[in-house]
Amino acid sequence: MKAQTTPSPAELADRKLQLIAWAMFAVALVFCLSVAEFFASEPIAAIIDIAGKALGIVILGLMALLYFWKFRPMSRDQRSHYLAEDGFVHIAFQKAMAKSWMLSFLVLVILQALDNLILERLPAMPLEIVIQGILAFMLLLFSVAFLFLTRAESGNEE
Amino acid sequence: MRNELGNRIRVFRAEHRLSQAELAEAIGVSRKTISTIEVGRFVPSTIIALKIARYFQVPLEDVFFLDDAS
Repeated sequence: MKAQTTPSPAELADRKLQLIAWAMFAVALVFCLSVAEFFASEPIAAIIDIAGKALGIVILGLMALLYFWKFRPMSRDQRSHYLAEDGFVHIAFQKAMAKSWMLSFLVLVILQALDNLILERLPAMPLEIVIQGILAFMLLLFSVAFLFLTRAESGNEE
Repeated sequence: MRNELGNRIRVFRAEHRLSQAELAEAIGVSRKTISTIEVGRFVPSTIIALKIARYFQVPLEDVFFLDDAS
């Protein structure tokens, strides 16, 4: 078997999409922390605030590092090649986007329909927290769906 | 009755003594794409299917077929 020294454009494209999905998962956690901060007592909220900021900086640093380490060697030709690729990971990414959007829409519609049962029992929240909560939910749904769709299955790889 | 897409990629690879990674590189897709097509987890696009058949220099129907499942 031929030894591969540099990954092909298609492999790089897969890695990039996986990196984006993990970044979305991490960003969702940051949004979750922001929402948790609102509900926490003052001393705990201060800790969550620091943790959220630290996590944000770590995510940005890690993503930048991985991007330049893994993708910078790609030429313009390689980039245009992988954009046209319709491989497994690319399709899984699109499916995860569609599924997360549909499920988020359904949940919001159900919440709206049952406003007397659920929404009215929640404490009053600033619009910013509501938006952060929805973003966290959508990003978590997307990243979990993507990771599930692209999960490794034993016995099919050689 | 449900139709599923079957394939003989593994057989053709064995005949040509090719690994999944080598076939993937030759047709411009990732190895995961080939491995998931082989086990029927991923239905490839027409372009990928045609590229695979062209690589092995056989008609498309020799590589892919409809597997009737009830």
